[in-house]
Amino acid sequence: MKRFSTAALIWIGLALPVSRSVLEAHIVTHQFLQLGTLVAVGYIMGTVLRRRWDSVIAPWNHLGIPGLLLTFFALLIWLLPRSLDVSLLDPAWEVGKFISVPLLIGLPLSFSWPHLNAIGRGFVMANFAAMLVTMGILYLVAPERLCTNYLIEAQQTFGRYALAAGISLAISYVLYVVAASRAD
Amino acid sequence: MLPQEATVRSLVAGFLIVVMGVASLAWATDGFRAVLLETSRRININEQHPAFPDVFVEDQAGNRLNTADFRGRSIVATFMYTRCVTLCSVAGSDIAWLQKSIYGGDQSDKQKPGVQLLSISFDERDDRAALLDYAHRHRAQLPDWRVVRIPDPADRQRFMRALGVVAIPDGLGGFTHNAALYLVAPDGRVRAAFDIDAAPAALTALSTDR
Repeated sequence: MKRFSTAALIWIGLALPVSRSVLEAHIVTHQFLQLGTLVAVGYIMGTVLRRRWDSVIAPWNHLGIPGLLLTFFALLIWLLPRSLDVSLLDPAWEVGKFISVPLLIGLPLSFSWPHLNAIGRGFVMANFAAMLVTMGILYLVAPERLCTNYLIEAQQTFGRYALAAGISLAISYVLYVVAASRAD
Repeated sequence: MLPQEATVRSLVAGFLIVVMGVASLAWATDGFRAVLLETSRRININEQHPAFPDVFVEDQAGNRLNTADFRGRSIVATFMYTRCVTLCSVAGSDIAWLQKSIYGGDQSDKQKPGVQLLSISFDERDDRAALLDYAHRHRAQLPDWRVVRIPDPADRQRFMRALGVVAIPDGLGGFTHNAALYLVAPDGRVRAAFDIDAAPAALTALSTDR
């Protein structure tokens, strides 16, 4: 339960006006730190909740696929520059972000992860890495601003970071899989 | 529970998630038409025709007016700040081009068409002298082309918000903003938003309006 309350505290901390204005001031911290941590908050809460609820959810979450679909769609919506942009102007979207990112991206992922086999996990990782790389290239080369709230220089910086993150994720996951199979 | 039962339940759950996911995605993208807020804003203006808000403005000659005073005439409006040397000066040239095309430079013409040209500053630093200087630089003629500021900060915010205008500091003492030409119909609703290099399209739309 300690893990659960720590995650809840981080959730509240991120929603405070001061941390919102600091993290949302730059597109890099908005996407990586704020959104990334919100996903992690949902995932960590899920690891606690699933001890009790997994037996209830599992019959509806065969091989973890329905949960993964939920994560996929919610993530897709929050990857749209429009969603990110409008969350800075419309309080309803901002509230929606703080609720949906942990509960519809992180939480279902943590319920599905233990049910995924090696191929499923590899699929998730490969897709996530490919998504970061694609996003990175798009943000890097887009000739126009993608968000009305961020400057083009910031957008390109984000592109560079996303590209680097995608490539590092792909490499480290391959290394991890190789190391894990060696250990077997 | 039989394994098949779990498969069926999961199929149902998966199917519902996909249906809701696609519907949410459609909703979040204005029916798969916009991934950018700016695109969505243009779609909203061109289809929903939001009201051009009524606010008090002050023009380059110090005349205090309300945007409601322009009801009954079409308006071509653009947002700018006078120090801008990039987009806003293109928008300035656009309006100058429209002024020339509509009014032909002949100020004695009694048959003035009912078009009000409006450059609206969103920069609180712009005082009347700055507006006048901008007006001179772009040869803005009163009363056809009014270069205005919105003195009340709350009005200014409300006005920009209503049209979705976002201006962010560019870190060099200026702003980066989503520039556009707005065509307001005589009934006070925004008919369309045009790119700032699309002044001829705005002129065509104006002539079909009248």
